[in-house]
Amino acid sequence: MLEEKLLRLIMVLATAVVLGSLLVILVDVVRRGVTALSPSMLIELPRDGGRGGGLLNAIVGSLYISTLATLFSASVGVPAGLYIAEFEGKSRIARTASFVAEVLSGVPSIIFGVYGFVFFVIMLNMGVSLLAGALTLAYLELPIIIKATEETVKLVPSHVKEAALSLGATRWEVLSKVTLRQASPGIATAVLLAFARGAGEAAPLMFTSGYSNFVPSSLLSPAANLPLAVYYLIMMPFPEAHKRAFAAAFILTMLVLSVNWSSRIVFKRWGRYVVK
Amino acid sequence: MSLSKGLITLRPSRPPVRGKIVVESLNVYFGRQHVLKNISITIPDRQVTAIIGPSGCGKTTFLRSLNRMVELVEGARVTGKVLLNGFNIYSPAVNSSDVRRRVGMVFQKPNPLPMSIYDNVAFGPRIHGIKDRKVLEKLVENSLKAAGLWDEVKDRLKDPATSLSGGQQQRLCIARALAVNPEVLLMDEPTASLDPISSAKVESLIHELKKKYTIITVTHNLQQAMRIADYVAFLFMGELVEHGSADEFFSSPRNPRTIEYLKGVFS
Repeated sequence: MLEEKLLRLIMVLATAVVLGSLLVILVDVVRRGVTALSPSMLIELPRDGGRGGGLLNAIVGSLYISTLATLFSASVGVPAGLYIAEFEGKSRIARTASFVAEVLSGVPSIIFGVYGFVFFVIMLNMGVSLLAGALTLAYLELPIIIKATEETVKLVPSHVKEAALSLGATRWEVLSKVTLRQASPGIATAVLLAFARGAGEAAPLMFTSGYSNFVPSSLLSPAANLPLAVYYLIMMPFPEAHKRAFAAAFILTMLVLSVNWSSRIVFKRWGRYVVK
Repeated sequence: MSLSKGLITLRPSRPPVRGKIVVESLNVYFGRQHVLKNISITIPDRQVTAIIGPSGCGKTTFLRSLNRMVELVEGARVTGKVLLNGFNIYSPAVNSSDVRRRVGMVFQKPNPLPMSIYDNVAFGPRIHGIKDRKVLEKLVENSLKAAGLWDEVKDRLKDPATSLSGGQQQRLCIARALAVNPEVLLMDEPTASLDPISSAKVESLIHELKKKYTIITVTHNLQQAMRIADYVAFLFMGELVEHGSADEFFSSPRNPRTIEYLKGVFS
């Protein structure tokens, strides 16, 4: 009995530590962010090197970069995940890809940044730009999407596939009309979570997307983003800049939270037809 | 396309034949395991044939070899012939998709597709090329009526199939199998996961369906076999021990192993 109580106490304490530290961060960001934020910051470009004006450049830049990165990543990652899940038993390429995706997900994000700089910025001559940043970020999101797609597709019960096969469906029809349908809520959730993860990253963009005080006018112009806005503004020796750093942190947190939250709604809505 | 034309009417207008399915020296191997041993049997048209036997005797494998679902198992090898209307379904010229259209299957556990009630039934006709909405609607309605489910679901066709009860899901799966207008229905212990009332409904449905379809059902339940079967086949360790009309089989079995099984010595 005593052991049970002791173990339970340890678990409760551990949970409290996790929850407490998360709450402290969240409350602090919200408290400082809300007091610093004014509506004009959402619609104005920065002035006086960040001491005045707003964060429109970083907000729009972050949305552009993360959206593009997620599009690139999903259009490669979802088919790759499907392939791995369906052919892992038979294809060496599939098994290798699965392993590479696992390794990729453990690579520190700054490495992606350096790689993006060398490959996209220099070798492919894209310069520091929205496109180079988005492509680099896409690499970071790729393992998340591949692994999540692979897992959800593998979870599609075999009796569901057999139902379609017994009606005369071909392997391709089963994959496109049944397996994908059953897995789509999971895949959609994974894509949204990858977006949220990408939106919060600073390191891969540091050397690739550049930074600008303007809204990017083309794929090849440099683009600001919220994580780097927090970093640059907090490094400045001016209280006005610090205020804006906290406002940017608050906006970023809200963006990530709302995407996470909407992924749950998507999962519920799309999951209506899913067979358990 | 003759195939999709064949799908549209639910009433097959074909003359009765003596042996709807004729199995000739069928052997099935999974890797090195010899699962079905030299089975030969003639399945009568538009009657209910019950396959009985202890667990692991190859009942399900036998059923799955009649619509080539057995080929989906990694390492499966089939020799011998399965003649459907006189054509060997394992001949290289035959398309497995067409075989499975003609030989429908209902599984042990209801397995709805991840879509609405309507789309579940329309799935088969759609993959076989029927696009006309009116035709599809009629097919879905007729199939659901034939499975005795129409009155229960006609106002909720857009609801997820998983919102139905287990017994309703099983009848939906039967309706889905009927929608592609098969000639034979394979049923793998179709009532095993159902409550007694739902089981009774499925049993009376089988009785109704044998007027139009040749039905082969696997069952664990001897009482059920006595109630529904016209013809019985007893499998033991991959061999066909005895088969014959239900009356004869249950009243005067010949093989000692059949007699022991019927006495409940092993199950």
